Amino acid sequence: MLELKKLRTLFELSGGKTVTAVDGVSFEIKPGEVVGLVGESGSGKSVTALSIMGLLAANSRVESGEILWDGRNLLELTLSELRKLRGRDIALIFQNPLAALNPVFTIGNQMVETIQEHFSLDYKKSKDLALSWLKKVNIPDPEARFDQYPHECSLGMCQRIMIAITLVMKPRLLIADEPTASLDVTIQAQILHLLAELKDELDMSVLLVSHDMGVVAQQCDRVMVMYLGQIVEEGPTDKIFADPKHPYTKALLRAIPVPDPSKKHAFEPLAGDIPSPLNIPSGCSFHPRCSEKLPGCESQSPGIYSVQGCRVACHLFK
Amino acid sequence: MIFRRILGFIPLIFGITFISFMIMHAAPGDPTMMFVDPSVQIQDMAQVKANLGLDKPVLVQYFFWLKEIGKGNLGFSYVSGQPVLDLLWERLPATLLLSVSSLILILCFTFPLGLLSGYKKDSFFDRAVTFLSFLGMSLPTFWLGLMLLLLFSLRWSLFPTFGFIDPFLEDASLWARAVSVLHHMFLPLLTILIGGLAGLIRFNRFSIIEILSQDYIQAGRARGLSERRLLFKHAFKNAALPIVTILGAGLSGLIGGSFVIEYIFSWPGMGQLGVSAVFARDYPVLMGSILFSSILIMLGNFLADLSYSKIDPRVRIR
Repeated sequence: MLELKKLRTLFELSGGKTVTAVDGVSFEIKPGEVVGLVGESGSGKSVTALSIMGLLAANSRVESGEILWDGRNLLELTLSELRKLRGRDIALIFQNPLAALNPVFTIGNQMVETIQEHFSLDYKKSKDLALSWLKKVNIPDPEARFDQYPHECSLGMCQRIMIAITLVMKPRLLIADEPTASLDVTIQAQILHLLAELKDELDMSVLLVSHDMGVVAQQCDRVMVMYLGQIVEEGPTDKIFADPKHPYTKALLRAIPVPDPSKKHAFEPLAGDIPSPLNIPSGCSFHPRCSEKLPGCESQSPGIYSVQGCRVACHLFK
Repeated sequence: MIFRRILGFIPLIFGITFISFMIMHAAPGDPTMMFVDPSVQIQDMAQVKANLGLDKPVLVQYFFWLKEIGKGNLGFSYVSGQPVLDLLWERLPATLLLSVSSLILILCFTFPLGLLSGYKKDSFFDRAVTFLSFLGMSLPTFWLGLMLLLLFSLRWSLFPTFGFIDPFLEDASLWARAVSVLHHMFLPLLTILIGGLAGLIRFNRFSIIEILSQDYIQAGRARGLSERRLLFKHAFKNAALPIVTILGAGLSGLIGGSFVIEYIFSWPGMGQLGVSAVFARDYPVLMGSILFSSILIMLGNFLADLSYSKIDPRVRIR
């Protein structure tokens, strides 16, 4: 359904310098699949998502590669062709739901305008559809909320509303960019549960972008781990979590706090800082922080190796 | 409550009139010197002053003025002997016509120019608008007014040099008189517009640039909303908020600025009356026009606040 081939996205800085935010990323998402994209902040997860939507900032652009949607390269579409796809086929929800809603229009107004952009429905029918979706995402008293403004709703409620606005078009792929990062843990669980439910009902695929390994472990069929713009490991969720191959994945998993008082070190934070994207280390870009470094790691970038159903970019598996 | 706001105007009016009264009396010059026949003897001058109450202490004079205001009597002009209220009432339409039409035109020009200039940032159009705005901001109004008068009225005789309407059109049709008023109004209006627009367009441009980088615009694009809808609905309403505030505060500038402009173009409004009263030391007329314009300014600010709370749901007047 969606296939990325060697996607490279650059940011142009003042003074003619460029930064490669996404560096040769390839992956595929099949119908009905939930795929997690994890990594530290700055690893290029969100830029990958925005590249797919064609919503990159003015100072960034896709340098090379292909983004195939049902075999059509999205990078070759005109803006109006792309707009028909956005929301209708591929939808995006954001980290901060309050900022993603326009503060000066009512929730109903924004839902109806979205519905009418894609379907030729009159106001009455659009409103009914909007209300039914507000009900579906468990908003109490939808009629009252319909006429309210975003600031009158809680964050969790706003994210439900965002989900309703987004899924009302029944997209085939939902890209959820850190959908729960700004929410309380209990609300987080509710939202994730809701997303999982709606995913089954609409039979859509989900690309879940997150830095939270716990969220990804619960929700995803497949996980891709991203580091400095590259996918370093990819495979079925159970395999990645039970037996991580790449030293970076291992380190990420060790960094999850374990609520077990008998363990002396409940978790082990990742050593070192993420390098500046202006100055990406030579060879394997993870080598300065790697605990299993080999002699060739500084000079040669690793190939991609298939190991027990996973793909790993690491010299250890040559 | 709206009523409380209006009550709050009363102490403000006391303050403004008190300070103006003191400044007026502190300024050198004596009204009696301006209109009394030079052949009058010096001892008779004292009598003239006593008749006008000008021999009393300034504070006493102020309270006397206040008392008469309370009775609805604004006094009589020293120069013409006419009641001040009649003079002002006669002048009010011309002033309102000029300031309201300049306000409307400013709004009509600011939004399209600012919006497009911000949307097409750094384009040729944006650069042209920026250049003209800086030009407009750096030209002093009084100089610009005089130059326009010099070129368009004196050298090329395209517009009349003074007044509100052609005096020979007293009995002409309504249409012919309206055309004549527009003809007379063109240059003063143009002068106000050039000065007033420049800063606002720059401001509007900056708010649009900032708003277009907000999440809700990005989220709108992700839902497939058209650029036109995002710019003219979503960005427009958000950008209108600060403009309304500025215009509310700038209203005083419009009225104050039109004092000078009315004087330059001999526009028979309150401003011209006020400026002439300053030169003639015609205290009652001057105080009357100060009172009137401060009430107008407060009404303007009040209307700005009201409309602000109408367009921004997060603001409610209490």
